[in-house]
Amino acid sequence: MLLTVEKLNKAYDGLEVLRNIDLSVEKGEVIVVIGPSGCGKSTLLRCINGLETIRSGSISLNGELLNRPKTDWSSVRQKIGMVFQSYDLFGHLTVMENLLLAPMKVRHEDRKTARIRAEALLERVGLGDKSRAYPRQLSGGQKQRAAIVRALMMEPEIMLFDEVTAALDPEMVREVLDVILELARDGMTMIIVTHEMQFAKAVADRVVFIDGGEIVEQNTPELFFTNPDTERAKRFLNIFQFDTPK
Amino acid sequence: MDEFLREFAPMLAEGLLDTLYMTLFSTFLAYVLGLPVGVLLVVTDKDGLKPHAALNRVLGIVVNILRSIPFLILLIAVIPFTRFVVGTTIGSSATVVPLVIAAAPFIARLVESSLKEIDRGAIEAATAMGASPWQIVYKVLLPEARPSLILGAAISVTTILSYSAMAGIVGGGGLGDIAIRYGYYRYRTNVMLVTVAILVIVVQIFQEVGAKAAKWGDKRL
Ligand SMILES: Nc1ncnc2c1ncn2[C@@H]1O[C@H](COP(=O)(O)OP(=O)(O)OP(=O)(O)O)[C@@H](O)[C@H]1O
Ligand SMILES: [Mg+2]
Repeated sequence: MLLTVEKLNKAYDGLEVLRNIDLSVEKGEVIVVIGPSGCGKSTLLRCINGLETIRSGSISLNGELLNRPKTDWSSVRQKIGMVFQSYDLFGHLTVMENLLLAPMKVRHEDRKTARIRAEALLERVGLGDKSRAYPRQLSGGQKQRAAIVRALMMEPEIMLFDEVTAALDPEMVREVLDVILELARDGMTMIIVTHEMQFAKAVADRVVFIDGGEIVEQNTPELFFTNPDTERAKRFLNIFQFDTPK
Repeated sequence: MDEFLREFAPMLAEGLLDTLYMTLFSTFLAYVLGLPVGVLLVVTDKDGLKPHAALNRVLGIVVNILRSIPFLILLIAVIPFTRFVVGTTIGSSATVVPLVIAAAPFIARLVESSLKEIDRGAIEAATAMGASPWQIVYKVLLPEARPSLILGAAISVTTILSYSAMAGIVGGGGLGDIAIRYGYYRYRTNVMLVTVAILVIVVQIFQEVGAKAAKWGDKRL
């Protein structure tokens, strides 16, 4: 297992947000996490890379326990790429400088080799001509693709995506999702939180449905979207059928 | 007019230089102290990169105490300390001491508020890539806040300038000293007016330069 989460509990000032989360992710697997707003999806991702401390349970990466006092979070986080809803590029830097900052400062890579990798990745996501642009000069979709490339620059073993298209205009959603689909085809291990059901169906190896801070159902996308095991998943999907005309 | 200039121009020029020296040197030293304290206030905050409640509280209290002392009182209260550091208590070098003590906590708060404007997302993104708190301060927080820090510096310079004029009351040197000695004690109202005009112009220049520099350095908008 690449990532194992066991009996994870998380609370914010007494408010229980995640309860008894068990989740294993194999190398190359694409997990899509869905669930109603406020159910704890973002919190789960943030716990996995140590942005939040957990109350109990365990998280292991490559069999190495993460939630212990001695964890070197800097090196762990280099293996876990994360992209948020709100792009979060560094506004004072060009796209290229955004991509080079962490590889050079955190990994002490030399500029030349990092640059070569950055150019190749930008080319791949269709931003080959934007390396000298500042974030303010990019569209939302371009910013988000640049943010994905910035995370990929650390050559992570697993990528976490938290509703990366939620803040985008509809016409830009596709270009970002296509990048993620391509990563999936290349065998990148990913946990993707999304409300885009068609995309979830297309990209997921497994769907994890969270409701009220608990994993209610884990299933294949085929079964989950046509015939889920649980009532709660059925009810949740019914809400979505209004806006996905067949 | 000619006569006035002949009599006062050299003195006013010297006063202006003294004022600029006091202001800029004090601003520089106040930043040497205030900038790190401002950064520490943000970093040790409970939502900061390295929360440290005790240190945060101590710094906050020290800053608040220093900021609540009226400058005129501070000016007099630090006289023994000034004599110890500079060797004299009159003139522009002596004035630098109370100016720095008054301005450093003010600057710490300005820096703090500039850094707190920075989007949490950018900081979190850097954290998520494995950057250390120090790397984030140095490579993300300070550069991202640069335009706001520059504007803050313009505010600091002008505030310190007006404080330096106040120091004239206790013989602090510079234009404030001239305004008090000639304009007030000797009823030379025109000297007072000219000094004030020069101060207004200098403030204006600092403000303009600061605003331009901030805008020029702002890649974000
Ligand atoms: N920093 C915080 N302090 C206190 N409560 C929080 C904090 N962050 C999240 N919560 C609470 O934790 C719960 C789970 O939040 P979370 O952001 O993980 O939900 P989510 O599933 O990602 O929702 P959404 O789909 O709207 O993004 C919510 O009830 C939220 O109010
Ligand atoms: Mg969320």
